[in-house]
Amino acid sequence: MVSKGLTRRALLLKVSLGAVGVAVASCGPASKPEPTKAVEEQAKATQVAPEQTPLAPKEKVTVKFMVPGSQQEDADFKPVFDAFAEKYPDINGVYAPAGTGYTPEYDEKLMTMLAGGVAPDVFKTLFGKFGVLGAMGVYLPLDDYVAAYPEITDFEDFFENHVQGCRIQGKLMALPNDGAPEAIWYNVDLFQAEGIEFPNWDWTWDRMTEAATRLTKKEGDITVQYGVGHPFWLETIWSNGGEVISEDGKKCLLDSPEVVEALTWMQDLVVRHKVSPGPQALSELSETDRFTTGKLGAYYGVRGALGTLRSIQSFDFDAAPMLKSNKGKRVTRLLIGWTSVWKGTKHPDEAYKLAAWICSREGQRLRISRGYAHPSRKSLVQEDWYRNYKCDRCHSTNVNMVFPQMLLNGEARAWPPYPKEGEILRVINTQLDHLWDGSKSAEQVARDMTAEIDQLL
Amino acid sequence: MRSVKRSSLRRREEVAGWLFALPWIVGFLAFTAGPMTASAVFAFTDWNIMQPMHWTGFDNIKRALTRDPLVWQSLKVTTIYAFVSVPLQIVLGFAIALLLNTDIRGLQYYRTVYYLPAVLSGVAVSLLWRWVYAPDFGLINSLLASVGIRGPGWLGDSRWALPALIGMSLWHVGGPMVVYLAGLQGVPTDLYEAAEVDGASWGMRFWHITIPMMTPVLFYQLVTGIINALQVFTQALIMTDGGPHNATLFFMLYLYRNAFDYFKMGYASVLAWILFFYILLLTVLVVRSSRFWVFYVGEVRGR
Amino acid sequence: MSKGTSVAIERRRAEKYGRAPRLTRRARRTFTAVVVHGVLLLGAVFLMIPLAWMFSTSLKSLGAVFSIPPQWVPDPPHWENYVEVFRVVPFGRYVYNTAFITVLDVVGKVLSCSLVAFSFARLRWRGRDAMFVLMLATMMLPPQVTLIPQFALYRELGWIDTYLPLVLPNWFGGPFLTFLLRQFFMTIPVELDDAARIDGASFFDIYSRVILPLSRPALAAVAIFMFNSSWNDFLGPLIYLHSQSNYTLALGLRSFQNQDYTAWHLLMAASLVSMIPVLAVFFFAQKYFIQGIVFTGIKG
Repeated sequence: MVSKGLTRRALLLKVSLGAVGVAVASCGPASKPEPTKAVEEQAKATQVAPEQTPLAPKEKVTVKFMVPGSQQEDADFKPVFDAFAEKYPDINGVYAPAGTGYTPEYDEKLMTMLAGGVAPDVFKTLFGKFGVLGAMGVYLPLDDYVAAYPEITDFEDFFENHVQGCRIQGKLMALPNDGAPEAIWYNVDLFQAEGIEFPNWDWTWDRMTEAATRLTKKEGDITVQYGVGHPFWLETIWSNGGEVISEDGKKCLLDSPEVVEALTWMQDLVVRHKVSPGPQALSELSETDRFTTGKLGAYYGVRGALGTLRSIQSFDFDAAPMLKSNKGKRVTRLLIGWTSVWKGTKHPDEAYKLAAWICSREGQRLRISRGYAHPSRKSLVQEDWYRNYKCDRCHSTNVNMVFPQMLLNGEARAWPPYPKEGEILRVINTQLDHLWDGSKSAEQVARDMTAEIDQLL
Repeated sequence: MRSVKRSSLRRREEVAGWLFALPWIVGFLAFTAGPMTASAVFAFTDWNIMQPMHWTGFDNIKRALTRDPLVWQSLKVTTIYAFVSVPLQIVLGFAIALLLNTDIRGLQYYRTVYYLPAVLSGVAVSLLWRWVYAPDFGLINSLLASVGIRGPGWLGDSRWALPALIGMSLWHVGGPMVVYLAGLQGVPTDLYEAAEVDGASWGMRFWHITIPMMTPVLFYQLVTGIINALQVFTQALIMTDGGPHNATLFFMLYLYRNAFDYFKMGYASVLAWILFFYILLLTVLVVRSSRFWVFYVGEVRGR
Repeated sequence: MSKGTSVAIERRRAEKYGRAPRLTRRARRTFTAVVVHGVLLLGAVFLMIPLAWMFSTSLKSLGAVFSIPPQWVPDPPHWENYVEVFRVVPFGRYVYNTAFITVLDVVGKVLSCSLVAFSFARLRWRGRDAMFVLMLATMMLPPQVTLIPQFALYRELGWIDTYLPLVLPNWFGGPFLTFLLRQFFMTIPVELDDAARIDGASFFDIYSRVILPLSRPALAAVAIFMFNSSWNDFLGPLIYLHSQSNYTLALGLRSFQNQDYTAWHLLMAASLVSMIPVLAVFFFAQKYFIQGIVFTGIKG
């Protein structure tokens, strides 16, 4: 009998033995029925045919759409869904924001929902997960639907770049509901105060370093104003002629001299010149917060940033094209608003209609005319409401036009989806930590990234 | 007659015993034994939840033990955390308990203040400490700056991130302290008086009476403390997300990433089992060592 | 150890042998007390400063949060931050959800653990001791081992994004708190059961009319433990809850910090709001907290 008489030591010893017993016992009957059962479930799940439409009198079908969501984004989507309700009275389209913002938490949430079998019918995927989810087969291929509903899709009007970015191994896995190349947002007042000309199509890395140095202000040990936000590694590498992964997807190419040069420039901004906030400073106060409070001269961002920036009241700001590398080449990253239909949806037709509406000319116009994001349609960037949009403190219509211009120049490029991009990006970010805190040289970082990524491929 | 009655009573008691224990038995089968069996199966597959699983034999296990440096990194981080923070908590908690055990005035107020942080936990506390450790405007570096010291970047600095998390764990020292205090108050005064009569000094009394009488409690705290410390998760996810460059990649965080970020359920199951056997190993080691230093009154009295 | 205790012993010795002059003794005693209080006060300040810092930050404007040197007393205090928190995110909803889950968890835990503990402490049945050891063994099992299969199980049942995966397991006992209750029940004299049985009471009568009423402090301790862990749970909601309308406070706080801004004043206000119920329970029921912790920590 286990009771007061037993010492704690003996008890714990017994308990540990018991635990071993449990472990051993549960390892024993390693039965196979479970995997087969799961396979069956899977088969059942995939049998949901897209064409299946019930003949019985239709009940109002509910389809949900998920985006990261924020106060601005929620307000901007409202007219889109109101119009959808009018257009399709028999479909209940529900806007279901994740409430996470465009952060890794959105991915986390989307992934667990997919895994839990409770994903929304239509959802947006963020950079770094499109390839992963594609490989897991969670997207409904849309080619047949595009063919079946040409009038609501108006496929030809999409930018070719955007459409290409939505394909995985040739299959269309998403429609783009928006998507902008990255550019530079800058604080006009701060540039003027320092007497620096505004960044333009000719600006190179060196030119920006120089400007940022003048814009950086210190108070004692603390930098209270930084010159420029830190650049994103991918476009910096591309602009310098570097590549991440070989075309056949089998080899990592990050150890080239072009990449090392690009990384060196990035590291210098933070570690040597100290004109860009490193991850440490950003954990305290983000780039957006620094910029909107007038404590950051310039930073990298897409047109979606306008959702926040449009409410700035204390200074003028503007957008400028992505910097050229010192070699004179400009390649900017095209971020695509992948809008996909979940393969497990019970109402694929209705879900497609909602997705197509969100990506349609009218759907995008309703949302983007409020001063947010960048259309994925060629016709829309030519329309007056887009070209001439101005918020209170927008310095010029560059806030609209530098983005499509880079696209039209062929300077924008989308990151191709890789099945293992989640882990690849994790490796790169972890190695970049070394770059930002100066604990490794750019060369070393490039070498270590390459070795680790090669292992994954 | 009497024996018949008794045996029927015994039988009823037998049935009642099982019935009353039923919630746990059902729970054990449904939430522990069943899932453990399944987990042992998953460990040999490449299951990602969304697609059919394939039998991959020992691949996952081989990879975890031989080809994945992050397994060792996360074990290292977790072990350092457990082996520094737990003893520190014990020593500090014990010291405070000793001070409080001096029949000083205001005992209950001190106890409240020291114990209060121990009841707070979770996301709110992690956020609070992120802000305490913030590099330029956080509490600690602001205080250091006021005396002219430039503090390190704490959570953003790979050398200081883990020590910072260990420091934060000491905020909860009140939990063990309360236990020690109660333990100290339970040491019979006649032991001290007897030693006193024998002319034992303060140090000798402390070493030969207080410490031995407290070893069972210390031992219990050590075991449970280590088990809990090996499962740290919330702080790691909220405060550092494992960074910078994996300096705070706790084992549980790495497991979570594999399961719910990469969806390698099979591999994550292997990691869960590694953690299980690691906890078991450490516990058995500590329990084994206890015979050399843990003193049970019962043993002397020959109970 | 306590200089205080040694002083006490000194005094006893002095009384016994009539040594140690009175004045010195008092002086030494005062000195020791001053030192002990000094050290304890210092420690108390260290422990309380983070909370004070949190409160102070929660009343600042964003600009004042980043002022050098930091202000400790915000001027003027922005009490509206606490209103703002409820406006920016559906914080009221999160509070309600968390409270709802917590109440169900606590009720289930107290009921199921007391039933099981009664069986282990009071009833004799074959296999009981083996079961008891088995139960204690599961204490060592890291919940992570069962995390993935449980997730898969709930997925098959279609329970993802409901409260069931969070609440249901708590209605089936649990080793730690069952153990606590069992230890307490063992201290209640068996004669009471026998007396009740002679009066014709069933086992359930004994459980509900004899044992439970006598175990209020232990039951309170169990309820408080469960309240605390349920209120602060993060991993469970993180994995199982997805609709914002189902979020708990822990998730709400997390997503609050993750929006692309670093509004520390609002974050601290929100965090503080989420701590209030725990603090309230702590102040009203500190006795039970301590009893519970002592009961498992010492008498185990």
